[in-house]
Amino acid sequence: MRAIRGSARDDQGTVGRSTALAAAWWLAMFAAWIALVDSVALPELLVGLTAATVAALVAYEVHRRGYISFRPRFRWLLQSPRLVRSVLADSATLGYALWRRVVRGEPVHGTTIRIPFDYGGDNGRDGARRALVNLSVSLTPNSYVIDIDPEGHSLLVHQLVARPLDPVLDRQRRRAHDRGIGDGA
Amino acid sequence: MNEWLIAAGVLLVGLVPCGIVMMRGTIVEALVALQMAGVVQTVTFMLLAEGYHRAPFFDLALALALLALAGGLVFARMLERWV
Amino acid sequence: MSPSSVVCVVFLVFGVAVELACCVGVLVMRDAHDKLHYIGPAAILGPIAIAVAIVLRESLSQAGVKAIITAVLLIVANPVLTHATGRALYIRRRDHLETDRESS
Repeated sequence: MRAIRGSARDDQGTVGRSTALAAAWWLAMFAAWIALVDSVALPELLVGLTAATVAALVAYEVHRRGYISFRPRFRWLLQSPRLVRSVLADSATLGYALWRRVVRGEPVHGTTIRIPFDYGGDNGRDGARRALVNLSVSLTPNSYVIDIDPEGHSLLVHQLVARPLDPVLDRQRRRAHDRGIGDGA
Repeated sequence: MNEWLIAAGVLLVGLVPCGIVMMRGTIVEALVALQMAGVVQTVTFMLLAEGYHRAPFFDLALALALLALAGGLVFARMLERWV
Repeated sequence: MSPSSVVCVVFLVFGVAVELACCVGVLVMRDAHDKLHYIGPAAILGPIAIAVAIVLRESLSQAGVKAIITAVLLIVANPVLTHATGRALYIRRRDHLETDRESS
């Protein structure tokens, strides 16, 4: 746990961001409530408002106290279509691997690879980068992240069928190389 | 009987290989099989809800998906160090 | 049978087939790390196909919306659980896994 320290302006900025985040959470939770109960009867609205307010207050306090810091860049989210293609391609790869294993009786062995990875610092931007890299690699069925080594600046990834690095991993490897991290640096 | 209920019945067969792995595999393999069984059961609940035309039954699938996530994380954390 | 009903059944059959195939994958693959991969398609493609089938039948009624929410939840939870389980196995194996190939 760490409290937010710093100047009064920093505190005001944090409070402002926390408030905006809480408002977004309130809207999202209220919308989710309405979607789940599928009713706009007054009792449902009142319960939904209460539940959304509780959730927003928790989000506000968590953010204000700095327990979770998550600040992704918007352009990272623009990679989503590529992720959809990767999921479909990897699913086909796994299907073929299963066919090889079951029908042809061929052994199928996964491999573990260690990739240079710039761990970064303990801040919202780097934390979001680590989380989203982990999410995108683990979402694609042919690979998932086993471990992120902060001291060794590396990512341990398991692949069922050995393939060239997907664009996310390749980009992270090049980033690490540019920063002098990893093999040959 | 409709196609949704038939699909749910067919899908339940998928729990057999999961059960075999749970009984015969290592403890971590059993956890993997448990997670797979959770996914299969969540989808089965969706099919049953549609087959019986009971929209509130979808809440079962939703609750199971949430609880399977939480339970899986707890088991994984326990298996790291304590079991 | 209307075209939308045919499409609905196609998605239904596809979703169930993906789930069953992934269950077979969990059974036949060598070790836990390999088995873990097959939860991916089961948690992504299967629920999406079933949710699409339900939405085709029910449109965006309460049932359709809840099917979509359930599918999204499974999709988001899958990488989290996969990473956590893979990491648990890695930690349990007190000797580090030997890397089969290094990325350079």
